Amino acid sequence: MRVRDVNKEALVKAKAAELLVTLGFEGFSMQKLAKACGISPATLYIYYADKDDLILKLGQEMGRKMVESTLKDFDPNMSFVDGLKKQWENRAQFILENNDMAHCFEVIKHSSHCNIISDSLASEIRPKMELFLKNAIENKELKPLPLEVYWCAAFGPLYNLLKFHREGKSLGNIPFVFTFDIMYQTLEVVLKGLKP
Amino acid sequence: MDNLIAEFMVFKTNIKNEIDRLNLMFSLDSDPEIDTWSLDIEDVDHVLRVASISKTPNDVQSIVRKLGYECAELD
Repeated sequence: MRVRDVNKEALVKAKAAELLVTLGFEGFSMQKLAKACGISPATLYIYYADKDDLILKLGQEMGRKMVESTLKDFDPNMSFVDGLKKQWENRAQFILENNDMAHCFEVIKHSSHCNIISDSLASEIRPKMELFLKNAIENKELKPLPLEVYWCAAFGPLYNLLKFHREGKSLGNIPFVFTFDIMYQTLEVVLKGLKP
Repeated sequence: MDNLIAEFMVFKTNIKNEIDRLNLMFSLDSDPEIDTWSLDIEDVDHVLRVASISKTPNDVQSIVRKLGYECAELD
């Protein structure tokens, strides 16, 4: 009979995130993960019932961390400029500090577990974001837009900058490194576009 | 008194499809000494894991083998 080991569990999660990014959802297996961790497959099964169980739990944990980080020091009653700035800072910080995890979360989001994970996260983040947007529109800080249009305009530019950073290059293979100065410059343009 | 928490026993089997899984389900689900179990039919070792406070690996192997399947404890 085997006992859970917290350190081993952390190693398993880190390696699983790494392997899901490099091998993709289909190429990933419990046997490959056990080998990468230098542990027996039997040990792996102490923590997870199968590959789906592992990916679901990993996705839920990553999502929780991402939501916590996105909402850190954010108050839906902030002015629109301050609130969006805080969210850009939080999202950028999280992705820069957890590159593997953030990339892996994208892989998981495209799997069949996407809905289960999104539903559990949405219940936490949605009410705050809805209040934030309602306040911003009422205070005439934000033009009323369909949600998809708002999201693409408000966050698309940030995620593109972070994607360039992950790839180490921007358009035409020009070397690129993300800085908060570049981020604030981009945010200024976004805020102008979203004003009524 | 400390609460006893069942740990998983892990086995390699040759239980490869849903019909075999159902066969196993009838035996394991009806056993009051088994807290929970799962089977990964997609893994090369078709891993069975069983949590029970009172059952030993030998007990589990005996249940599975009586159903006509191979079952060896994974190290």
